[in-house]
Amino acid sequence: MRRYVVLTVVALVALGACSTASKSKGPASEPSTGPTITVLALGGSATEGDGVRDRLRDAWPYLVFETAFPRSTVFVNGALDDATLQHAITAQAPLAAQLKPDVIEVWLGADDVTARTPISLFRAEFHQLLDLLHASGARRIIVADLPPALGSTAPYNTAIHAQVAAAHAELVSLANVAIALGPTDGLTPQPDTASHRLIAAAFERRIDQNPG
Amino acid sequence: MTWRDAIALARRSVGRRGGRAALTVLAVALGAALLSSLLIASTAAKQRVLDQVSEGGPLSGIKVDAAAPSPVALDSDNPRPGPPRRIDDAALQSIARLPDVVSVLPIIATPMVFEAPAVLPAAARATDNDGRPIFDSLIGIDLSRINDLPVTLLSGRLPDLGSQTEVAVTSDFLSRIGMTTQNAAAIVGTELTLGAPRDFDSGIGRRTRARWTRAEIVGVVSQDAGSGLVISSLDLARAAQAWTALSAPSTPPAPPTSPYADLFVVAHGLNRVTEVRTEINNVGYSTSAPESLITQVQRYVHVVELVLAGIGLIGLAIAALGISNAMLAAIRERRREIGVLKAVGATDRDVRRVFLVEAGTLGFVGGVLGATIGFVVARILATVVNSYLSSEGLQTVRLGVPVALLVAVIGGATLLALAAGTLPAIRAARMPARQAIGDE
Repeated sequence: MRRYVVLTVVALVALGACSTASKSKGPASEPSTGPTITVLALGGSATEGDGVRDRLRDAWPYLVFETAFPRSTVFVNGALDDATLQHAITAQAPLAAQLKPDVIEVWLGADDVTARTPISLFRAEFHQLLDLLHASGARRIIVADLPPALGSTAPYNTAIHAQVAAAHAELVSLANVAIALGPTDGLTPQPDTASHRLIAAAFERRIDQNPG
Repeated sequence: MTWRDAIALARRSVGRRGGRAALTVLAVALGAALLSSLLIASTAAKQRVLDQVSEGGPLSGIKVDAAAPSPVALDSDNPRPGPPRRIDDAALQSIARLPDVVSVLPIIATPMVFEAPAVLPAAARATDNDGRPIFDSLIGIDLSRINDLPVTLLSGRLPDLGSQTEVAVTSDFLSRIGMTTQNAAAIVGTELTLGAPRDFDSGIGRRTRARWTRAEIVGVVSQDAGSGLVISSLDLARAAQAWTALSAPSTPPAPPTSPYADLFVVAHGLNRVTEVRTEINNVGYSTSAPESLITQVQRYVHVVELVLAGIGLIGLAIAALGISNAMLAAIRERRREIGVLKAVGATDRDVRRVFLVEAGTLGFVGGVLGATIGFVVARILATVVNSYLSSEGLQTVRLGVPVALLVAVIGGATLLALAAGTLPAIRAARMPARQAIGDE
């Protein structure tokens, strides 16, 4: 009897070895596919990442992309150096029509302050820009105003607040954020790395307030 | 005497001399284990080289470049391609219809900026690449046909089919960030940021915008499917490629516009590779395949296979001599039993049958035990070899279940035991009853 038991055990061991041997490498059966969120950032030099050492890790749009959105997010930074509103309308807004983003983050106006764009023109251009962005079908348009560190921002902020309210966009107030400007290589001083973290935190708070 | 009686007598005899029977079985088992483990090892090598070559697979694969064939490179393993030529779905279909083509797999290669994981494993931090982004290519492959592609998993797993958030990095990627395949597991589970570039004219000059995505590094691979540092699903690569394809026209040379960078064509065996390459060249595409290298490897593997089988057979022959010796000793000890059997009417044939059943049983049990041990030993060897191959970034050996081989070893051990027991059985059968009893 014991002999049969031994033979059975040997056969079971052989079968077990065979079954483990037949396993092969391959992808897991559950695909990790899901809906993606597309986020577009529009802005000027600071939004593009001027003034920080590693723009892909330190500039505020990338910080927001890394921390405020799920992994399945597609992010495009449409910002360009020295972008006034007029420039943004021609060179950045078309991206929204093409990408059809779910969320658009806007931080424009700093270069208009530097260029002393007339307030009436600034207001009209902001209105035009928000119209274009709405037309892209974005669910959320999040607009930041200008911190005092950038100069005489009060009239520009008044225009931004009015246009944001009229367009039912969402406002990120940077008026009370301690932005510090640092020197850049021959360019206009830009927010430093710490300030980028503050700006990103302000955007993240706004995004978290209304996650839908 | 019936077969049942003969089996019962043989069983009783084996039971009475358990120690000797166990040693005889052990001798057969060791011979069979040696033969089966060596044959399984050589079969695994054959599977890696010869079977894949003869039945289709990565080794009988042909790379089709997005280029016309070069007239100066007619018969080379790595011919210099001619002028660029698009590979699209129509080209893929036309190549798939060629005779002796088993499968055609598209490979997408798209330029990409890789931002290495922000929190690099400790192993990589010592030789960090200063956190600079890496400019190279993302390779999109059909993950459902991974076994047909020259891709070996070194650590972790492969991305899920169609996943937009999972990638596997190559051993070259590890080198670029100062890691080695030895600590490949450390990067699995970290996050990689991928930026598909698009050139555009900003009005004040040519600029680049990237389409950024994040993906979890789920595995590390060694691959020869395409030129790039990271592999992903075709869907992920296609989305990135679509973004980059809208780049503004640049000064020559223009960026590649082919939807597929390469095709990986699996031919119906190595002997068809040359013909298939010629046919693909006739369709108008440049090809490359490691066929001459494989032919040489084929010869070496065959020689090794013969040598290993020879060593195993010698082991089994020694075991057969052991059986013969044990049976002869048994006859000497069992003369009285043989005499009694004959006295009560057993024929020569009956006596012969008892001894042959005993020899066959020893051979069969030894064969089963030996085949099992041999298989386990081969698996252990394969594990050791695979860990070495993986650490070197080479394709691993896939050890299948050689059922036919194991059955053949068991059958061979049984037959050899029967052959070894035949002479003693004949001697026992021919022994006169009076002499057998008288000698006792």
